[in-house]
Amino acid sequence: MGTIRKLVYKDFLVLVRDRGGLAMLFIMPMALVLIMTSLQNNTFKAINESGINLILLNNDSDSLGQAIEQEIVHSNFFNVHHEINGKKPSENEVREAVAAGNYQIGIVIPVDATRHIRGRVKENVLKIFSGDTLAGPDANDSILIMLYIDPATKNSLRSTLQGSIREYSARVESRIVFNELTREINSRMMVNLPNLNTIRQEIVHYREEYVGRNNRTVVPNAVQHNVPAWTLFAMFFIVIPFASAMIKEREDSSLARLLTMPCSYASILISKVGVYLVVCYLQFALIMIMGVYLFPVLGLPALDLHGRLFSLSVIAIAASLSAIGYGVAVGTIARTHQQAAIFASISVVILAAIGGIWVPIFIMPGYMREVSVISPMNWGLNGFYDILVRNAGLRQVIHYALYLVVFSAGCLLLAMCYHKSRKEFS
Amino acid sequence: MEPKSIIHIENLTKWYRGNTRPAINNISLDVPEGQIFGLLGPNGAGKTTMIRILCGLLSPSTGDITIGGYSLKHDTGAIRKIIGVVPQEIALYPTLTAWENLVIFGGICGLKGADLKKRIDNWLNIFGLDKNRNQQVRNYSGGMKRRLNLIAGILHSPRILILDEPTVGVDVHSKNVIIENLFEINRGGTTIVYTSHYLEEAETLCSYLAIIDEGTIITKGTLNEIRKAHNTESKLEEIFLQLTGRELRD
Repeated sequence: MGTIRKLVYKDFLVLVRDRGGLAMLFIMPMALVLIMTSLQNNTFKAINESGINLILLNNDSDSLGQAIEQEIVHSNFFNVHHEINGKKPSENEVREAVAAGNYQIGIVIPVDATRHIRGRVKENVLKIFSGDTLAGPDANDSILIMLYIDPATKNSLRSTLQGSIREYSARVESRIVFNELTREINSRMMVNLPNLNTIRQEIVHYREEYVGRNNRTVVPNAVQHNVPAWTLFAMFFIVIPFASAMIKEREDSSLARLLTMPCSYASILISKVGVYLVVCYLQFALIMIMGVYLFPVLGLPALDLHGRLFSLSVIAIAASLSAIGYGVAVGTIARTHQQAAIFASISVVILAAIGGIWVPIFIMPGYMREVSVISPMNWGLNGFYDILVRNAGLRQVIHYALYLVVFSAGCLLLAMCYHKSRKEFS
Repeated sequence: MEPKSIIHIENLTKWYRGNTRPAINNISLDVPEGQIFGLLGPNGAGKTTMIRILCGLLSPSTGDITIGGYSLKHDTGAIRKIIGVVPQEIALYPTLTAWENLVIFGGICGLKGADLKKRIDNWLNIFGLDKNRNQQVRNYSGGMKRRLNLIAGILHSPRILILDEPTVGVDVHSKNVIIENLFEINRGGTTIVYTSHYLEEAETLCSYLAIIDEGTIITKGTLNEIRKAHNTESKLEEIFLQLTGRELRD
């Protein structure tokens, strides 16, 4: 125990004497989490809070044009413009402005679109009442609303917009149909029915609810999603300074001296794991504090820990052990600083990518979804998400902590076997 | 009467992976207790490999070694308690002070409390580092680092002290202090195993010598025994060149 205490003292001193390195261990992860969360939050806002520039050329002065314009303006999805350089543009100018990237979307509603619909509907209603067969849709007879889309705009946004415009048009069209039907029935049957539009009502409704465990509703936001993901990513980056510290100790022969003393390789590793575990946990704690207290000051949503700090800490400690174990393996096996730095950084990025840190697992291709389960970052992320987004308790996430600890133990075992083989076979 | 052996090496061979000849080739050797034993040889002769095996940093391919009555194969822990090692490299933590380095290394060797402090004070004083005890080692001169490197190996008064080139790259003053104190440590009963390229220094310091070349011991004994065996009254350097040849080594 005395040996471990001295080793811990040594590792602690070595760590705190490197003030630049120590600062980076804390400042860089916090900066990473802050920047990534702000970016993601702004993207979220861009879609939700009038962030997308839209140029609307409404050549229809009647219902359809007005309805589409109103719905677009009230959707709060778009920053709607009607003029370019202070004047109403032509369709060609709309097209060019979107092509130049000045607007993400341009919408052109053709002249007399409503009148066209009304005429067509009237014709059909008359046909119905006179017993004629209705003609099928005729391309020459239909109206064409043009959507000009900047190629840099996401496909999902384009689909959303198309769906919305289709819905607005259908609504206007059905209103006209009901008006015409009412008028025709009243005149033919000599009655005074109220406008059929008044009985037209939306029968099917839907309600959204983000469901968490224990009947608790959890509303996700960019902070709840990004803080755990980028915290894990930052924690795993400790692999690089950790492996470097091990290689430095080996290169300057301090490790060799320790190994000639009553001190096993295992105790040397235990000491390092202990000291860096504290560093990792402090990183985690600072990021959580930043999420809870600093984010609201910066205009971001506050991180909601749901009172699950203990469960989060268990996952954080297990993830830290996993990262440090990986660092031990890299630091033992790599022969030079360059090897360790390149391998560690690239492998951490790969583990993050397949673990769902950057791209959610559910949108990955099938084979990648299967591969993702081998990434310790995926286990940590699932553990954090279950707690922060799905309101799970420790019992529901303990298996993730177990996977992470087993991964760490595997890495430590690999490092000790490699160290032994180097002693015997080098 | 033959002095009692404290290190017994029997049929020791060490192969490095990928090499076509062994670094140590079937060496058998006894290091007498209480002596200063010099292991000499040209570059690449196998000295460092031998030292690393004795320290437990490398495992032999074949052969047996007993140190202080303990088998290197089975009682590594016990051996680590009775040896002190001074590597050729400055094996210290550069961002720690001399005091902190010694507290850590001494503590790992089982020293603690007032005894540890007393020993550190004593050795820092002897080696002229007392005033710089709270200075980070990275700011030390080469000679100061070399002296501190030695203290870290002798602080716990080991029965056997293994030194790999302890005076390399130091000035005359530091070298004298080191040599004088090695004599002093040896007089206290510590057996010293010493390697060096400085043959004159070895001639002065060592009471027992072995010359190794291409992984094999080519001569061993006291300086007089070696002179007698090779019918010469020459200095050690001349005998060394005679035995190992004059061609350059890598």
